[in-house]
Amino acid sequence: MNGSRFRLPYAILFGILWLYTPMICQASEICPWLNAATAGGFLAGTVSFTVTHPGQNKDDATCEFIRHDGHLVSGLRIEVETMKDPAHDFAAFTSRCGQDATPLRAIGNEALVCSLRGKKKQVSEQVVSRVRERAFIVRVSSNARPPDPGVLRETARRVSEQVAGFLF
Amino acid sequence: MRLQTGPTVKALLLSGSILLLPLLSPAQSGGNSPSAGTGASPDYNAPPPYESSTPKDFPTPVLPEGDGVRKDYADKIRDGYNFRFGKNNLSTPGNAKVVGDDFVQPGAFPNAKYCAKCHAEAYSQWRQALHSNSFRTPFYRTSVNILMRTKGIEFARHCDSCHNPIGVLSGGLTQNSKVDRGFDEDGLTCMTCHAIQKLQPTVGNGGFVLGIPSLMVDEKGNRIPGEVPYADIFKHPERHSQAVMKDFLRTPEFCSACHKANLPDPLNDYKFIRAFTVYDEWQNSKFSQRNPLTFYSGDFTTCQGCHMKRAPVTHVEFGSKNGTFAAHRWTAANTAVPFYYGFDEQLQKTIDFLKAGNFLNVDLFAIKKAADPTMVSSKIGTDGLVAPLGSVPFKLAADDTVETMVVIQNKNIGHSLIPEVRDLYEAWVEFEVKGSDGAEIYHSGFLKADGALDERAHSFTNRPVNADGGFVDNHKVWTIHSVAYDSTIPAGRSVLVRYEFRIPPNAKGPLTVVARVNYRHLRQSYLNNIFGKDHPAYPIVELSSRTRTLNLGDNPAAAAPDAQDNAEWMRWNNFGIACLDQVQYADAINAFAQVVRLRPDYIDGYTNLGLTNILWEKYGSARGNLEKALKINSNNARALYYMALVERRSGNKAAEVADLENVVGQYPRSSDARRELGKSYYREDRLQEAIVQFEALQSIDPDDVAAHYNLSLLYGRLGMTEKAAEQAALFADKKADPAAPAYSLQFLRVHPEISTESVPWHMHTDLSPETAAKPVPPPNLADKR
Repeated sequence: MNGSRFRLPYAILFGILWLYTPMICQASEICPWLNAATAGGFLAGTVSFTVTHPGQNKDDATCEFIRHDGHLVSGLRIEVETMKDPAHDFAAFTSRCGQDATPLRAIGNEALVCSLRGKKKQVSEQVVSRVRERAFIVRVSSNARPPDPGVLRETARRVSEQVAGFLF
Repeated sequence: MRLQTGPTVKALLLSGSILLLPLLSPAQSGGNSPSAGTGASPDYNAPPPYESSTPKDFPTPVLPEGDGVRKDYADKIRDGYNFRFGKNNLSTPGNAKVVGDDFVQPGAFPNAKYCAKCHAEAYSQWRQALHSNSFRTPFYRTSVNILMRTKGIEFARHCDSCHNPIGVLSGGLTQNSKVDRGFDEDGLTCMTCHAIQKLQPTVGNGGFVLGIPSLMVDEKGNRIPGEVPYADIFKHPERHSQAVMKDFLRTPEFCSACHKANLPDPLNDYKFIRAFTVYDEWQNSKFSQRNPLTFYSGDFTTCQGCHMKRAPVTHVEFGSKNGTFAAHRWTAANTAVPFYYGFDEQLQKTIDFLKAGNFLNVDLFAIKKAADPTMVSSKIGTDGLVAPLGSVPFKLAADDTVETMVVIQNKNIGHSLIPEVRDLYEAWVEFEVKGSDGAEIYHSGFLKADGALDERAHSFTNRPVNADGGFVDNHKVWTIHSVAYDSTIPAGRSVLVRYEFRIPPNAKGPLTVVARVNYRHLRQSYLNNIFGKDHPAYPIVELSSRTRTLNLGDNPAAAAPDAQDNAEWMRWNNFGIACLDQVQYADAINAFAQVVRLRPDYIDGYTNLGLTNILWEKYGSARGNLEKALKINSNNARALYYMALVERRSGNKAAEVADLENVVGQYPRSSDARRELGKSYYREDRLQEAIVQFEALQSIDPDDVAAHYNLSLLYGRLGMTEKAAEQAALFADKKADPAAPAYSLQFLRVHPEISTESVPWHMHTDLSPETAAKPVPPPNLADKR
């Protein structure tokens, strides 16, 4: 009898937790380049993520981490692709940074960083780099107001260092 | 597929979002650079500088976290952690330990930027130093990534016990880790070293015990974990010192925790292999004053004495004294990391350190020449020596075949040249002969077009090999089964490198002869492994060099000794030491005879003669030489040690023991003296006394196989079966694998250039085998025939 008396409050408590806690489930595939905890550290909160394999090479993958904090949304996208001919193919990746890209030292073999402006006033900082024959792009985005490109750029650099470290 | 991760309900209830707590708040990660300051000594009575600061300027202190937080964290990590090496075994195959033997949350480690507020000098140096970059560099990651991918991330605990101890002890090195690895970029942060509470025996591989990082102790001396308000530190700086500055931080034993490494069975599924032991190299050097057997003596100098020299401060540094501070850039020999990161100041200071000029001495010591190249082998002998160059006249002519002897002395390095991982670092001798018209006559040790080193160069490198006899490339140390080749100059010793060339008939004199010791971090093939072949050339540093001009015709003796050269007796002494290590006993005896002729008061000259005769198994001659040494100083430990060996050979047990007891009395940290005295006691059935010596030996070097072997027998004889079995097992694991030479031979068979280099006496030459010089058989071998 005593046990059943406490069932209802427990049910209410867990119900409340269910409502206010982000949906929790175990990932069947993790991001190879960065774990969710580290991504959460960079985005300063709990993240959700997706892993996709856009290309034919199964060793390549794109990971997208998203953090929602009320109306604020921050995101981290990591795209890794294996090049057949780095000397030729990497140009296609660097072109995604455009003319305003600046060189970034000590990330992979070589790296560029640039700023992007997206939809809904989203601000992004993007690093394009490679480790040997593997190109990668890291993009950190936020719709925070006012935008702080310096913080975003530093986050993109730090994430890129983690990704490059894994790829070496 | 869209998935979401986050803390479990239980974890949320118990610990909030500790697991996903960002290591840095945005303000912290915004690149707060330490503010510049004057070099003046800090005044602890001055108002705390943070009072006038805005929150953005300084990291927000994290409140201390109690044991409950750690327990919750550890419980969560333990669930799912790969305990492949045993339950509750956090760091095997490494040795890193933490108080409480349980996982500790990364957030317990205050960020370096927190420390930078008052220690900006230390921070600015550390940021460019190897310790802060111990994990993240491509040079490290390339190797450890292979280990993780081929054997499993849990094996990387071996490497990361030193390269990333927070990663290991936070439980990050497991499959599907839930640990925020933001700390990776700081490698060995301030509060890894400054949180260490005690040292394990000097076994290396992370032989320390971390405490929960604390910046203060309370009035009773209890540690207060986590960051504290700066005001508390300024109020009680002595409590801050007590928390973060253990006395052992200033000792070589502290450095040994990571600057000594082995490859244990759990890592390689093979057996214990000693990897490197720069700490023991220091113990055996003159700078430790622990070893009576060094060829030269020197002032006591610790690792910190060379690599953390005090220098004037240029930033705020509350740890400075009289305007100077023990450098936290640990200047040594790694040029690759500062080159990659663009740490120009660190790179320049590293190069300056390497080129300081007093670590090595390169001596173009002698030549021999053969008048008739077709009869070289019969013409070259010990009596054809022209030495020391500069002190004796000689003639040279076109068409002469000349053997040049270069003696390279490790004069003031407290360890070998080069220490630690000689499979990655590359030092070599470049030897060049040119005519006055610039025409190259001979060149060894050049770089090829692809950046690789001339494979016939005399290099100070090694070749670890795997079970197939292949070179262990990419630093895959877990596959090492043997070392086919290992060339170095131990501290205080010298090597002799021989070059032979023929002066062309049309050569224009005078000739310029240059011998350089170059250094590169890292070898080209390893850089290619990391980056592919399209990487910039990494710095090459000339550590030391010597140039001489040789006239075609008369070469008179110099009027005065050259300032670059050692004193003449020392030049002979170094030549003798080098000959000794090349098993050229007759040449060594001749050289040391020159030493005592020039310096009859020099006791080590006689001892060196005694030592050479012992190795030559001429014990009667050895006794005579050692008696002369002891006549100068009857208490000389080095002479007594070798005399003890002569007494042992003669069966004079009492004299043998008395001499060794004298040596141990003077040098209680001498591993050689302890080992030999232990053997002497054992032979006399003085078992307890023998045990004392071998246990003392283990306290000096826990991996000494003689100690394991003898203690297993001694304990057994005294009925201490459990300890005997333990020592026997350790001996079986640590002794050399009798099959190991087979792996080496397999490598040497297919690498003739290294095979040649692996022979103690070898000649570098471009001449054909028919005309090149051949060694005269040593007299001892001739005697035995």
